[in-house]
Amino acid sequence: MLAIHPRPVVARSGADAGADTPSFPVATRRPSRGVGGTRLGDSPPMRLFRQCAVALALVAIAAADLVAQRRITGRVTEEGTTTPLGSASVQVAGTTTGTYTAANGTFALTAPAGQVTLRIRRIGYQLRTVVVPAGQGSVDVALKRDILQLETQVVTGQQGSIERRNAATAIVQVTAEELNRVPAVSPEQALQGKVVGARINMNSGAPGGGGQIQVRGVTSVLGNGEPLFVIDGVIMSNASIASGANSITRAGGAGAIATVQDNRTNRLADINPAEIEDIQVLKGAAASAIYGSRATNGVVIITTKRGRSGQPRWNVTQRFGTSEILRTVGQRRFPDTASAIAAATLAANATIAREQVIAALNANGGTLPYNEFTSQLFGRTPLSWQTSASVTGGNENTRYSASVGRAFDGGLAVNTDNTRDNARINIDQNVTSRLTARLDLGYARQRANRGISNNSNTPVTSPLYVFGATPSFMELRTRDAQGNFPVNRFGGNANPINASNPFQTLQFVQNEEDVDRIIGAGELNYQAYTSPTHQLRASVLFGFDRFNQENQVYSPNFLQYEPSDGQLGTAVESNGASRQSNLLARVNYEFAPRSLPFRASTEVGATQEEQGLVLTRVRAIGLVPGVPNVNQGQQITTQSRELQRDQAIYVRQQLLAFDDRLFLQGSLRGDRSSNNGDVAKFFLFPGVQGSYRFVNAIPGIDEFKLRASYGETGNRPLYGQRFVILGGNGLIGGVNGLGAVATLGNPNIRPERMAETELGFDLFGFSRRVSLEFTNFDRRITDALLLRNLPNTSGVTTQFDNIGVLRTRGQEVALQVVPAQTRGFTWVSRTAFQRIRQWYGRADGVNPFPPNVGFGAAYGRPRIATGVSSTAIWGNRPVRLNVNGRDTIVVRDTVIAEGNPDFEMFFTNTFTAGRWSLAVQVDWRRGGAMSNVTQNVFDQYRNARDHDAASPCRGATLDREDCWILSGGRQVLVDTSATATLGAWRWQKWNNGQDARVYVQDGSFVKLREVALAYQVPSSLSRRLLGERVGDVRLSLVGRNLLMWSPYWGMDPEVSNFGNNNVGRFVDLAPFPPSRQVFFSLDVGF
Amino acid sequence: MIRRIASVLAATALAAGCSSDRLVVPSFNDPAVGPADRSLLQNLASGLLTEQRGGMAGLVSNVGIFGRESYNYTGSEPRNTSFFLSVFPLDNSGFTNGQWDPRWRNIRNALNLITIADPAPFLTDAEKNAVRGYANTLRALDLFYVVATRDTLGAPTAVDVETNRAQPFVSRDSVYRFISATLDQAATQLAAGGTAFPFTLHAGFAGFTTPATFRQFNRALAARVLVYRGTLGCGNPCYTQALAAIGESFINATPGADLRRGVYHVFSTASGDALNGLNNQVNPDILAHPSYRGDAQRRANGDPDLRFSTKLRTISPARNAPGTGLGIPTDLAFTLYPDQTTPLPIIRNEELILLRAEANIGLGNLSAALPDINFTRVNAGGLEPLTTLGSASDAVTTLLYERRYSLMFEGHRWFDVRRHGRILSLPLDLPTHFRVTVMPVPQAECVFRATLAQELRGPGCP
Repeated sequence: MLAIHPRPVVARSGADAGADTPSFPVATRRPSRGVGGTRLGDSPPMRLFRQCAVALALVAIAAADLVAQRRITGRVTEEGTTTPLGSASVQVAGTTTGTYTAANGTFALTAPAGQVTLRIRRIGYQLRTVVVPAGQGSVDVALKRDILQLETQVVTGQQGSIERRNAATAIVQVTAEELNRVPAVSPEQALQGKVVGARINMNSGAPGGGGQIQVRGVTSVLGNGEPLFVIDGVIMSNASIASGANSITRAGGAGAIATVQDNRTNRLADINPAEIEDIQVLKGAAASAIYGSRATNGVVIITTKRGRSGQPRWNVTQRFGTSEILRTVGQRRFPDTASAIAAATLAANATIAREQVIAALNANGGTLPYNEFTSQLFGRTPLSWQTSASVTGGNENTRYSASVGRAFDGGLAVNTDNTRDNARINIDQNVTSRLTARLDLGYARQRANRGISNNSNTPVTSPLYVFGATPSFMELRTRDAQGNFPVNRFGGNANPINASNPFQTLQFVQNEEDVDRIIGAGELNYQAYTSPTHQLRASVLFGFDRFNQENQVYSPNFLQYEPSDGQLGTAVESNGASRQSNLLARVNYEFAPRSLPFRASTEVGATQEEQGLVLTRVRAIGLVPGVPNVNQGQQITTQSRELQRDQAIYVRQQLLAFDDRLFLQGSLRGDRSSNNGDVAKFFLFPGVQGSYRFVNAIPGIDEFKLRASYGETGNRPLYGQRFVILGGNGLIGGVNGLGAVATLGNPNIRPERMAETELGFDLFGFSRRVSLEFTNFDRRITDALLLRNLPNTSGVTTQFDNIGVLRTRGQEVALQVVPAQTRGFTWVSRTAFQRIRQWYGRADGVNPFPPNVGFGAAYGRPRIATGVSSTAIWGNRPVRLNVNGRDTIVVRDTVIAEGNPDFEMFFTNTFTAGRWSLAVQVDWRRGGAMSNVTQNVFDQYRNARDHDAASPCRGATLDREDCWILSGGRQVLVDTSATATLGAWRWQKWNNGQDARVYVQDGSFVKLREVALAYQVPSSLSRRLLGERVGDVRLSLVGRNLLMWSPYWGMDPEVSNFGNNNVGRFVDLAPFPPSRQVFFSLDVGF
Repeated sequence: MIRRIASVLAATALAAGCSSDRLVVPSFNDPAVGPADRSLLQNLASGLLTEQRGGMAGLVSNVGIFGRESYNYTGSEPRNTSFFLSVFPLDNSGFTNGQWDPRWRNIRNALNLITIADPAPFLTDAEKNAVRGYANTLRALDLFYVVATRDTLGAPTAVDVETNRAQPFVSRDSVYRFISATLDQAATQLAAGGTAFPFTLHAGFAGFTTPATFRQFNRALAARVLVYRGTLGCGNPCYTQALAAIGESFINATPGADLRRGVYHVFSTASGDALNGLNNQVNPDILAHPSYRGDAQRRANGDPDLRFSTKLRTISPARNAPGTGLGIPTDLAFTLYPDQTTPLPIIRNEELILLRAEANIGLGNLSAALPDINFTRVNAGGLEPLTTLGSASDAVTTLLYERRYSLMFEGHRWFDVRRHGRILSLPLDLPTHFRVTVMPVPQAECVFRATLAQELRGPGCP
């Protein structure tokens, strides 16, 4: 078939690419009409399987019944436009006859003589039926866009799926179009604001990614808190492996090579969003129960694009863009020389301060120079680009989809960037009439130069930390004639080897992350038995995910801070090798009796999974100049290894009845894992869900659906928590010392268990122009892993135990309105709202502190306490107590703020006018406090940009609580003079951690998250310019994080010093600055 | 058809992996607790020393700040100044409450070592006694650090390794008595310990590697504890016993005797080993209190006490505390741990000589104390010998001066001034500073005990 008309615009390629999804021709809503009867399952292999079955059936039927048939041709277009719709399915109702439209929208099929009804459907469009009278040989059909996505398929289990309109749980689907509208550093960034019910934040702005997805709040304290990621049936790793930057920043002390404060990248970043067909997020326990003991945190199901039969169809995208610092923290502009000397004295000593101020004055003609270090260092507007090409095609027996792409992200600072290469090929092959095979192979390589950021200790090397200590009169950028950077005398207590010049540091330090990754899957589908009422199918899927992450950190010998540890030069070589595989075997039985108004589907399956991770790190200090290898110098080495294996069996039963109005599903899964205390024991996780649709019951309301579900899922312990071990406590005299470790393992440990009730309704009205989805959920996580307190005087302090209870309640609302849908102009408006309340249930005898989170009570940190929010920020503050009748003020560690937002809202508006389209997404987060330790550092050295603003306590008296501090148990007024400054007030009020509230600040924001303006070039023009074969050409101008409105002082209230964290991702300390990005993009399809 | 379905089901069952054997995954990163052999015994014995060493730099540095010997002016951590000197009372939620968990862990380790060695079929009875004596000596030493830092708060004495239950706090004096008893028991066990330990001791024990010579180390520790007890109320009986213990130790006050002979923690740059955290390169922010300069006595030629000039150096420019004015400038830094691997003394001859002097002063026998005082004055300080110690109070003043300079920055002064009731002799550098008398019991311990019966709650926990 020759493409006569232009293909649909690439912008819709996400929806288009799934055009073969509604399996044809079994894709009927009446069981009797289809070969397969039901179409409950619709994941890729099922689709594949069904297509194959249908193709075969078609051939057979066509051969047998040629005599009594006639030919019908036609063309399918989008309503309101002339855009032809390729890959739409056209089916003769009541028969198994059908076909797909060609890229130009045309189709031709043979139908029985006499009047027939055609059913035409396509992903992203509403189903349409057309009556073709006996004498009519051609028909043109226009399809309406399915803006509310009622007819898309959403997954309901390991492999099953169902139309969204029937689903009994709130499942979020994000299409390729939404994902790829604006380039993102990693898929989670592309998902921000698109998944109602998930909190998605980027930990920093460093190239290469690093972000966190938290579905429906805190699900674990000590266990895994990240969703399970499944890509085409492969359970993939989202590990965050620390780089070894700690060897330079010393954030976690000099002893460790790497720590959680190393600005880690989570490996979801390796996935190329352009390869993705859609992402679905299973949020609730009932929906994800089929994933058993790894499902408590939600399941993110990624489906990549698959091939379609037909001529090869190419798509090439080229994007160019740039980025710029979103916000700078600024630097103090000293009002006079005296204040400059006073500030500088704090970061060095009086002699150096005076000497440096005088030098600066002399070099600048008698006035103090002003340097805004953050914009100077992170002031680049680097070129970024993305190139990708893909092709799909095939015939009835073989279909393929292949793509390659490279994305380069320039970093804001010198020597920082990220390059991601991806290649993928997905093949579907019919082996025999009953057996189909699928083979997928995806490759990724990432090379990131991450720079240095986050917390730092002596020597202070993290740039923002150093800027906090360095007065703005210092000129740090200019190199002398020999190319040397100025020595920064500030921040190291007068000793320059304890300080650093970030311009020198970032110029010469290497912090390189290099990842090679292969993800692949193979699947066999076997159709064991088929009849109009029964179908039995079996499939086996094997998936693997293998990556190697190499990190090289090199700090050359000549850097200012290098002598600090007595050795010149630091080099770290670390290697993380991850190997995962999963095997899934399942049998699916579908039953669609002709005489009864229901269809049923049963699936039984078994899985086996394995995940191994080996981390090896070597650090050397005292290097031969210029050699970044770890061979020379004093070396330390660490290695850790973990391995976990899981086995599970499950059964799922679905029932769709009464004209598809009633939907019921039940599932049960049994899981066992090498991480449990009892490895042989199966833990059972049930799930039930049901929904009923009222159709046209209320005027103006097309459909009203009530949903209810209950499910239980698990979260198995982490590797090692079951072992009672002797810990190595170091080498002495050449011998390894062994002894008890502080935290005892627990041989009886078992999975955490979540039980969740989800209730909701969906409402579709005004001729599908309004939809409202409301969900309320209530979660109770029992057997939560916490550390049981032991008396420290027993020599051990805590023990892992299943003793916690976590509670979560929340609401999710999604409203979609189509305010305008006229010929030539469409406006679709989506508004989402989410709020979560979460707290600890009974938590007696528990160590109140989750390990490794936060900087202590002086700065705010999480704690565990019965009835208190799990994301509450605890910290010191003076409180008034009545002790023996006397008013006493003491410092207490209490709840001072809430890290979880009050609510989040996402607004997306899409306007389409002729060839133009504009999409705007705005994210609003209200509340969600941050511990602003960055500001604390700036205040410590009196360098905050707003230091000289008026103190709120000028002229205040003791009755103002924010104006006194505690000294020796008495209230003492802070500086209340008419010249008192804001920066000094903050520092004084904080007073070395006695009142942490000053630096725990509101993190509310409104962000202009995405803007995308696209123009589709007229085909007449594009063909003239690019040749006859060219289909659609699209130009777009897009931007991400263009604007932010926030009262927050820091660069971005989304950052996290500790990276991904279950309960404590609110610490802002010298992050790599987040950026705004603008891209110009050209898409060509041919 | 049936066969096909059956084969599919069979494949499914196969895939499920009918056996859970695959699910048994070992502990790769740390040894799981198991039966003993000789090499495990060596690891556990060395483990006592690594664990104990791990807390030493913190101990010396912390009590150094409390005792106005040192400062820690880490730029990125102003709490090293503020929390130790200006925020009263000390924060029990971390930072100023060290010397607790690792000490108890090591007491547990010592008991574990005994428990594992006792039934070991490959050990002779003598070897088992040697293990017991070794473990009990080190366990007593850890408990000594606990009570020395907590003083009047007291401490528990026993550790319940089996059930991990909390044990009651007892008074300071009871803890000290328990330590003495444990050391005495260890001495008996060492005496019956044959000729060799069933493991080797590192170079820090050079000269004390057999049960018999290790017993001299044990007696030296016993002497220290007895002298402490003497000053804390026990008086003459303890001083007398202390003199007896010193007699069985390795004291040597003969001309030319090596004052540094003793038992040390050792360090190395080997991977996995530790560096001396008090060394200037390892921790460049540890500085000496400036009062050392003014308080140093003068030698005949007008130069300061040799111990001042050999253990300290002047740095330029002077350094001050980070943040806003919570410390004072100092231009002194320590040089007594010149290398990253300079050993850190546990107890040495110089201390033993001064302990003997102190016991004699305590007994009122000033003339017997004078030669020992003069031994360190002359040999270590290069000062003129004294002809008399003056009054009993003067003698204590002299003794404390000798201990301050002889045992400088080895973790003694704060204990010394406190047990002699002279805590007020510590200077307050700024009006906001205060003098710490005890380190708090960590909050975690107290939070735990708050849920227990009254008799298990204190007195360490308020």
